[in-house]
Amino acid sequence: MIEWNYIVIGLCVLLLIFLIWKEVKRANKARFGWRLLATIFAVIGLACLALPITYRHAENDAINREAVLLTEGFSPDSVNNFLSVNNNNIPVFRMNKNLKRAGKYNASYIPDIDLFAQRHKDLHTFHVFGYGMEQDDLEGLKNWSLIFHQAKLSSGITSIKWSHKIRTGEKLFIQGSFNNPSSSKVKIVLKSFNATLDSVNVLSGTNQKFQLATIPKHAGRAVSLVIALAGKDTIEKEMVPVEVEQGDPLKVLILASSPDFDNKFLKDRLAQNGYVVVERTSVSKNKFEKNFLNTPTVPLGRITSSLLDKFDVTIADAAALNSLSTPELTSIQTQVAQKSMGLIVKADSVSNSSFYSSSFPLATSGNRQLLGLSLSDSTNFPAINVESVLSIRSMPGTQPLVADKQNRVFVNSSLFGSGKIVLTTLANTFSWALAGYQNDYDKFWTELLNKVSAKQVADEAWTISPALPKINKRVQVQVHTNSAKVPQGQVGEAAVYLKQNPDLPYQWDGIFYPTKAGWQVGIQLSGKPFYWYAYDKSDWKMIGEKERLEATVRYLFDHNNILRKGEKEARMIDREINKLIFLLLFLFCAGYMWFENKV
Amino acid sequence: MDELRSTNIIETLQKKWNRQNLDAYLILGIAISIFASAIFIRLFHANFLIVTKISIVAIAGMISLFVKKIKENDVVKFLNEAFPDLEESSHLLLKSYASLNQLEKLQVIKVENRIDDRISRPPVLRRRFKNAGILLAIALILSFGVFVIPLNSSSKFLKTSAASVFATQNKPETKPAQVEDAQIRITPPAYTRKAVREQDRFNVVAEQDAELKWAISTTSAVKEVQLLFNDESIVRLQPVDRDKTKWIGRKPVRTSGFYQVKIDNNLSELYQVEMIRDQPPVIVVQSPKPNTIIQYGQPKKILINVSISDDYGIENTFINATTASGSGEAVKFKEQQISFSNFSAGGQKYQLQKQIDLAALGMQPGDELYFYVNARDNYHQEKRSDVYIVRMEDTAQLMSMDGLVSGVDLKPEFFRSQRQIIIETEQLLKDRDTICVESFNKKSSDLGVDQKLLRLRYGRFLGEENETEIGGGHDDHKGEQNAVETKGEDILNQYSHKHDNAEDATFFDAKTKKQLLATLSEMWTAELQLRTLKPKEALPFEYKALRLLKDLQQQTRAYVGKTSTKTTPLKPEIRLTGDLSKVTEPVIQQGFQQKADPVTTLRKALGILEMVRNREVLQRSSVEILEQASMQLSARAAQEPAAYLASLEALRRILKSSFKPRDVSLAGTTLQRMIRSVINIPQRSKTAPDKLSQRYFMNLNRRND
Repeated sequence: MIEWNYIVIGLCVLLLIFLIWKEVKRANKARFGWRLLATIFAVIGLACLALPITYRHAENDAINREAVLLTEGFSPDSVNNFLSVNNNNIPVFRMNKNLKRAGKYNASYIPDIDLFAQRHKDLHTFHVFGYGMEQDDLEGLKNWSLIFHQAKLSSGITSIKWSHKIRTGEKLFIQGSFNNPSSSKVKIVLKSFNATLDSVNVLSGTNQKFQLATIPKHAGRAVSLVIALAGKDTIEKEMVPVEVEQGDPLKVLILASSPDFDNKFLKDRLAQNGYVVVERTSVSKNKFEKNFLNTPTVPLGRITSSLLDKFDVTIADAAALNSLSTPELTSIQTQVAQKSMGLIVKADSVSNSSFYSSSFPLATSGNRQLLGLSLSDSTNFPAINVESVLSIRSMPGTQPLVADKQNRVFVNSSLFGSGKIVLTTLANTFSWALAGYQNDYDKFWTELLNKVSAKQVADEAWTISPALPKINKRVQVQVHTNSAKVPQGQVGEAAVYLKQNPDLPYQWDGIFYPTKAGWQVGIQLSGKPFYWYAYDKSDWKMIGEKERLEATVRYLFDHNNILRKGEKEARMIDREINKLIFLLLFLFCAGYMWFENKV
Repeated sequence: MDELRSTNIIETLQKKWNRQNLDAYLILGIAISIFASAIFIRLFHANFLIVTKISIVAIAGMISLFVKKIKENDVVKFLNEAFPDLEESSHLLLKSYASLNQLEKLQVIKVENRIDDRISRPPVLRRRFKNAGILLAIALILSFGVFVIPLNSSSKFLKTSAASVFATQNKPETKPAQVEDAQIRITPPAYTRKAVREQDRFNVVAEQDAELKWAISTTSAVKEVQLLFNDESIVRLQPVDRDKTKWIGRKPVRTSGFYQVKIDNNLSELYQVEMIRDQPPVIVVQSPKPNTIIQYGQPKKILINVSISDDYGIENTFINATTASGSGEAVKFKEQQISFSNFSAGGQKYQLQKQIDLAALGMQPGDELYFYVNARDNYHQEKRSDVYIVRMEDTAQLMSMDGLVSGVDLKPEFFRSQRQIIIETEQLLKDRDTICVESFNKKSSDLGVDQKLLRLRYGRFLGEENETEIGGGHDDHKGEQNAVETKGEDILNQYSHKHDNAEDATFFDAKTKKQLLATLSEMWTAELQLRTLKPKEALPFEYKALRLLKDLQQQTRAYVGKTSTKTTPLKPEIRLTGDLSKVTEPVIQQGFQQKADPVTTLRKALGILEMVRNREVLQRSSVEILEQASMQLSARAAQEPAAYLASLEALRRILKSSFKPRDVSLAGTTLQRMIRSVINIPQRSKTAPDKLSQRYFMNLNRRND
């Protein structure tokens, strides 16, 4: 546009210079001044015809073209205030049919935004009151300008997150934030089957993050409740569905350079729970004691990759690894790196040089100490007596698992190829089991084994988004599958037709609208069910409101619209001047010169 | 005037007797109300104030209703009857003098002179007073008795039956439809001395070993009535009438549990049987302390002070005392039972004392006495207290020279000195009766000087170089003696700069020094006693000082074992070259059977309850798991019906699919409570098929290669 303007102006200036030069050269000098003036005005008129000439003026009748749009959570006070400051004839609309307290304003309901756009072309500005609208609805208002009169969020949970699916014995963490503008303390309680499992307090006048934790006792599905209480009043009561699954047992190979209590306890504990455990303990030169628990015997004389294929995790002490021949060690190394076998190394001295040792440099720091160890999730273990304190220096690329209060690391982990290696310097964890801390002993080894074992690749995996699906709202059903066939989804009785992702051929998406709140049963391709939970419209209300608020603010920000809370400002509007004026000017000037010529 | 006087007399008599009559009735009323309120307050625990008010109102009412007023005529009648002197003419006195005829007037004048106000009250009134007084006395004695005499069995019955009704009322119950009336008679065992009681509710709270008797009458004739106990045993009720509408059955209470009434084939809801277990006696030994040492010089007696209580009664109690004498291999034990003298069987609570004379038990210094208190209640449950130890200090041990001969000894001369002081003190005490007072006092004083010298010598070990610093705690005593001498030194100390601290200028460690300081403190006290001519009181301190020194000596001893042993010389060239080819490798193959874990069943049942809540159709296997959980719950309910019975019923309703939403959470709460902890064992986790990251990993490897 600017280029066009310059071209037009440049051409007109050239034309003017040419015409003035022509005038000056003209022999007849009568009425020279008038002719010069007429030429200049003719060229100006011509230029103005080509250029868009606008002027700015304050629009007085703008208020007549505005409307109020009420959304959830609007404050009647601010609406009344707005209506009384402006004249009261502003039409009031609402997007939600069942909006509370909207009847007072005679708010007419907008069932469809596109239809509304057709009918009300005269309107150009909406004053949105309340928490705003969802992204989809905002897109429909693209052609209007919006002025957002944001409402304050009331008391409630404004964000929440938990694992919908956990494994047996795992801790369930429910994390979120609670907005408490009131002046009283709020207590958030986690309940399951009427039993209180955990609770936290939220101070008054804060938006506080909270965490609730428990080890769910059920197997399968159950719905726990998160209840926010102010004194004895229930502010919010939300459902937290959790599915507890029993994972498959691991197959463990133990290589020991000498008989050892720690190995014995671990072996017995795992075997009692149905795990396949094979132990090879060297008892003399090239003589081994072999234990096969829950499994038939296999040749154990040499460690080969075909032997290692049968196991998920190998637990070996450093001396046992050192005594292996080079090809044996190489086969373990490649098994970890390429076939993602887990390797737990028990180190008992500093001097070590093997493929794993560069990630785990060791340092002795004293003899015979009582260590207070804790997991990375700050779960504490009972104190343990250690003969020689051997700590691991943290290296880049490693993740410490168990450390003491002085941050000395005793169990560390690192990636190695596609597998993982965990190195522990604790050789007497069995003392926990002996002292009656069986739960802590279990927790320690579960943490290590879960960390090191590779995840099993499932044939298919179904996911649902959003995280808190609601009834009569769009829910995206997604499946990752390796199968070459076109998958078809099913939720309850209804079929879900899936569309392949053009970039990721293994990912298929479909849309589903749940109609009934509660557990939804999907059928996997394998015929097994998968479960997810659909919420009622009124559930997790504050989260929806916060999302809408944020979506509206983001939309306004993206579209340069006005976000404000207070006064109406005068609207300045650019208006184009009618081109006819310039045409007449040009014709008049050109006509004068033509007529003067004749005279 | 005359007329006035005589009528006045009659009026006075009438008023006087009326008042006395009222008084007699008042006393009677008070007597009755005192007795009645005593009974009310004692038995029904009525409020004292309310009872008082009621009795006052009652007395007032009684008096106004029953007490007849004495009229003038009555007085006259009585006078005429009682006093022949009045010649049956006292009634004339009532009439006005003017209305009388002449004869009457004469008679009046005659009578008037004979009558006077000193006429004694009528015997009826006197008797009434007497009776009322006797009754009041009886009432006072009786009501005193009511308060003093402990509640007899009849009042106990009232109390306990009230308590048991409250206990069972926790659980609302409904009777089976065919039952018209049910009477359950609870007969507690005789030793509890509780009365038989009856109730019409099926939920029972009964004493251990009480006999329950059900008498159930049905609305119509039924074929059979059974009681099903804990899903295990059955009690068949017997018909007692021809119509077969009255049934009777008996069962003793051995455990807590629950039962159902089965009439023909209809089962009732679950009723609980809560057993009140007989508690073993509770023994609290208040003195002596668990570990008592009798120092030399202390009386060789101990006072055992015990409180024993039981819920029904104590049958027997005694002290079991064992004395251990001698040492090493020659130790001898002697056991004997000592009974409490102030014990009489049958009570619920006792506070018992027993003084034990150790010398009478034949205990010597160095011997030990172990004792415990045993109590048996009338259910023949025995309970023992912890074992308490009383040790008599053996001073002879301290005097032995064993430690000095064999060990490393830094300061033998001082020990000998302390021992010498003790020996001489004892000698002095022995000679007390034979020597004169002056020499006794002198010797005692001399011993005090010896003790002081010894203390000073020890003070050197602590770096104390003069008398003023010895025994930190006793500076004030010293200060008085040496105030003048030390004053200058103190001032000097304030301004001078000292390089070494006397405390630190020794070879001993802090612990040894502390003990040495304690020794000095004991020595100082001993010295004080000796110098104040009380050698007997000094002796314990002397012994204590000696014992502390002994301990010091034991601490400084070190043991060095022999070092010279001969071993066969090694041949390094043949080490670890043994032929192991014939040695077979041990191979152990073992399979662990996976038993059905009760906790896992409960956990699965919780998940199934969620499906039930969600109104999902249950599969056969799910129902089986719920049934197994129900069995576990039933076993728990048999032990603690009060806690688990309601949930068991809820779970059974769920299994019968006739349940309310409340039942699901009720059963779930209890199942959750039954799961103590969830086993935490490693499991494989699954991940979604993710070819993208696999390819990424492969390409990463290729680039690295």
